[in-house]
Amino acid sequence: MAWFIAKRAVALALTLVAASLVVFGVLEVLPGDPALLILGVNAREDTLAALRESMGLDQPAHWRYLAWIGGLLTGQLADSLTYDVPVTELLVPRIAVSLPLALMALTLTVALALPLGVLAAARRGRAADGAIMGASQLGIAVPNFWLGILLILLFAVTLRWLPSGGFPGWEAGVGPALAALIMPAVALALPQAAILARVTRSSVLEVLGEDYMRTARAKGLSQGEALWHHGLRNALIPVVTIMGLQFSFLLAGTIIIENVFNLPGIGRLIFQAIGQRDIVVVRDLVVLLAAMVGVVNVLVDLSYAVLDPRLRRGHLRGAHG
Amino acid sequence: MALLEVSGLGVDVAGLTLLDGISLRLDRGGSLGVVGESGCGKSLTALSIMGLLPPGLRPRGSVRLDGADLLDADDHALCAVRGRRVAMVFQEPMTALNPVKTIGAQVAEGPRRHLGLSRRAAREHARAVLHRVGLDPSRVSPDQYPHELSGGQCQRVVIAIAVACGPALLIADEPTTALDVSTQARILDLILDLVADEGMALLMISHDMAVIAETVTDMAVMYAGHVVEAGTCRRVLGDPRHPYTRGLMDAMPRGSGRPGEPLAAIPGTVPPPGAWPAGCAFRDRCPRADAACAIRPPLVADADGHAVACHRPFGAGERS
Repeated sequence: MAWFIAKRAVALALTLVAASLVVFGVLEVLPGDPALLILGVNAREDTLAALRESMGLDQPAHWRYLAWIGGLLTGQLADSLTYDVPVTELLVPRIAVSLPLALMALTLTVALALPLGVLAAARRGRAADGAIMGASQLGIAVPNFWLGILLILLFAVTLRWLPSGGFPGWEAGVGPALAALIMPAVALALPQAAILARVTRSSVLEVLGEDYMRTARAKGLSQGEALWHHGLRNALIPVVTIMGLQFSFLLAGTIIIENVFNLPGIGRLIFQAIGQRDIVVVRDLVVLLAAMVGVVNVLVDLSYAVLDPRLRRGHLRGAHG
Repeated sequence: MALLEVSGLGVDVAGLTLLDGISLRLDRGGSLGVVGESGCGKSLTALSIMGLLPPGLRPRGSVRLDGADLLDADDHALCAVRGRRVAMVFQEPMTALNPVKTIGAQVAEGPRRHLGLSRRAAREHARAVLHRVGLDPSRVSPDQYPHELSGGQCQRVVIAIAVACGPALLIADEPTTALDVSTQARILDLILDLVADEGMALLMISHDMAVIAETVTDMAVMYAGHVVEAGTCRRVLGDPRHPYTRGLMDAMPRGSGRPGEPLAAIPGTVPPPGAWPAGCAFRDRCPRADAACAIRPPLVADADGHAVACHRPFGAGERS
């Protein structure tokens, strides 16, 4: 297991190096001069040159890349071009918004998708199955930003139960903070839950046809007990795979949803940083997001080993004797 | 009263008949073999008795165990019977076991449920049963997973699951078909040994006449969803009356055949359900068929209980 984790850690590090090279290269070739952006188009050429020098922009690209990576590794992030504070100071309060939001959305996704998917499979071809599959078709078709707007119209404008957007901060108390996050989390979760419910349903249906389920029934287990004790763990492997992929979609989804709900999170920060050509913030955020996705992928791989003994030690052992 | 009495058992799916008029009888401690080609309905018969037909398949007739009709029973009642009174050994040991559970846990499940054992007692019981079926705990641990075992060892686990609660009836559905030849013999020996020790009745299902001849005293030959011949193995194998039974026996390789001589075969294949000819289902492939065979022949038994469903059966001692 330690060897497996070590291998995955190296793969993750290589992925991050590749991601950092790509984002650095892309920002390098994109038009837009940060110095010009800060000082405005009417700035004098010698002022611009002085600013470029103080920002290190006159240095060759490979040197600036190494300086950036060195900063990332030592935790010394450069100053944001537009906010003039270290990126760390921008990140921390925004992670406090985005991480709970993503976790709430993921929890909601799983809490909705697993029971509904299992129920649809167990009631295959009957009314419950049709209703769940119909609803999930709708859920997949609805874009999350539009769903967000509908939720605002219903719960904030018409019913006035929840705030329409913004974030009071955790210092305002857990209740108001969660109230501000619940609608965005639902808007993020519903389309994902719709997909995951379908994956769960088909995975459970496949498992229901397995020979070992018949063996379990032949022992005297009821259909439900056989599904719970023998089917679920086997059915979870494809579900966990999709959950890992969905985490990336959730992160991407926060960029749109945080704008719809006006939440001061990572997604909104990256959106603004791109608009303002704040390449310092953009490149740090892209690497951060890549790291989060990479870590989730490692967790998914580890969960395979937990779920299926055949995948422990990282390879399939053949039958012997 | 017979332990198992199947009468007029049929299975239909979407207006198609898969099995019809199956009648079998098995006494306590007795043994019965069901033989026939693939697709003749042997396994469906077994699954009907277990109440484990795939969804959409409808059984009719009656399956009585200790006098109680299992086809009428609700799922709750069947769950109390399955694994406790009737147990089943399946054909594919590798897929019949759950890949993500230890073999000990899979054996312990039945005893915990049916014998009311504590978790710990059930684990001990499972260990003992695994030892009994030839899996010495010092060599094959109950904490191992199915993929760590060979096919023969997996089949021993499947057998352990089946016998763990001391059932009155053991159904073995092609228990050795998926195994290599040397393992086959050992698994059959194990089943016979357990059946004798525990006084279980055995319903052996196989396409292999030799397996039937070695393991049971009574047998039924099935063709296209019907029983075509039944009786003691001595009578059926010694003096087969139905042309299909004769065909099966002639198709068995014998030591007496000359090298290079082709093996006898029954011409054609078993027709799929829905394509059975009217009357006797075997008549399209039967060398003795005539106009009379357009009417389905009833299964008629002689004084010794040797039953045959044929208008043109071979006479006693007649050579084919």
